[in-house]
Amino acid sequence: MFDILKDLIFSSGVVSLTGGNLVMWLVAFVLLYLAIKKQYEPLLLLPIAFGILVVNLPLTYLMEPEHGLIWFFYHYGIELDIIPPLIFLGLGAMIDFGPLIANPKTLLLGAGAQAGLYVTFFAAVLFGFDLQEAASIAIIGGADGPTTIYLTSKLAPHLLGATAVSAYAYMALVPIIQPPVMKLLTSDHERKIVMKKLRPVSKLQRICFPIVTAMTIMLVVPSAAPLISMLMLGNLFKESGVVERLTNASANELMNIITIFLGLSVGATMTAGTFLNPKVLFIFFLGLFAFIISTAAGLLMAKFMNLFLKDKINPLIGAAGVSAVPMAARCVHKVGSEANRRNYLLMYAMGPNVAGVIGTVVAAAILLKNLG
Amino acid sequence: MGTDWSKVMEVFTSGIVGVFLVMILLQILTQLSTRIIDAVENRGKGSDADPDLPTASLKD
Repeated sequence: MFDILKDLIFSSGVVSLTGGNLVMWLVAFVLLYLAIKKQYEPLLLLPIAFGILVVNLPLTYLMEPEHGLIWFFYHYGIELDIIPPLIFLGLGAMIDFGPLIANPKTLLLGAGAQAGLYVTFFAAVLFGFDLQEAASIAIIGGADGPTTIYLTSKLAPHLLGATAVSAYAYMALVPIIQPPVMKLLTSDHERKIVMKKLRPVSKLQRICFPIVTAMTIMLVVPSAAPLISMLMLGNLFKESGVVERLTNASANELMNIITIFLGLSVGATMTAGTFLNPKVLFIFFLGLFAFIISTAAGLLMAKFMNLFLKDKINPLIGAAGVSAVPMAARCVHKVGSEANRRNYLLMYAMGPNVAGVIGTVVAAAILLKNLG
Repeated sequence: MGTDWSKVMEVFTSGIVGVFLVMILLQILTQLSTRIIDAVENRGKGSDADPDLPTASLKD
């Protein structure tokens, strides 16, 4: 009887617990709190937090190569690049590119915001990260979770957990991070600018846009193909109006299912051994830096464009050039309406916001081409 | 191992220039395609409207 009890105790995970495991539990509980209580990106943070928790329970071997349950999700979903493109399929089925088609100039704001990403790349190299790691950290500035995961899994898979959590955490913190940068870089007069009404966009134009965009980007930057093809296919589903079932499946059922696998897999990469090192702190710091610089770069790009435009744009919409759809656009609208209560910037900001999604994918593809 | 600064500069500059070039190209093509579609749709509306004119005048 005593031997059985002894065997049970010594074969349990309790005796194999390390201090690192306990710290990771703490990280998991903090993320669970943020997801459940504060509702910061709960769809992702909740499964990520649970993934962290279970993978840091000793002897469960959930991430054991060729054996662990979550390892299979991770291997087939992320390592083999299945999940991020499928997320983009769902995203495409939800995104409205209308404001971008009505005002294609806003594509430049999506490009401007990516400049911050390259500044961060430079900064990360100065901090001692190698080029692949620096690129994976810099892409956080694009504020696009799936793209961050896609690029990091290719260039620096050991940083996947830290970059993914950083990207999603800062996306959730858009309403806190962006307004001070917006107010710092724009005058009260600029924030009050009322923009010219957007022209109507026909159904045919909406249908042609994903086709033209997919062909253009994939011809110029073939390495963007996995993400951009799925994004545009999802959007074509939506805009064609003839495959409602596929649109709904992409935007709802499929998106929800893969979100579970994505979150769990990302969380499960965060074992004490990989997460608890000084580099991770730097990643969070540089991720915040990337996000701030990208926001600033988008704003400055809008101000620069105003030097040449007859119909001035409200420079605040440049801040929406980081992806973070639609939080960044909502944030622009809020700051704009504080300056001028009658200014309704949401639709104008959606243009650069969705341009930011495309811009981040292009930036990631170029990084991948140069460093992959 | 030391940092390859020439590679860093290459990634930095080619990245910024590359993103802008692609987005400018996309902007031009988007503007072009929307204008062509506008023109085609306006012509379509015009030709749809024309046959109605004599009918309307006959009714009058």
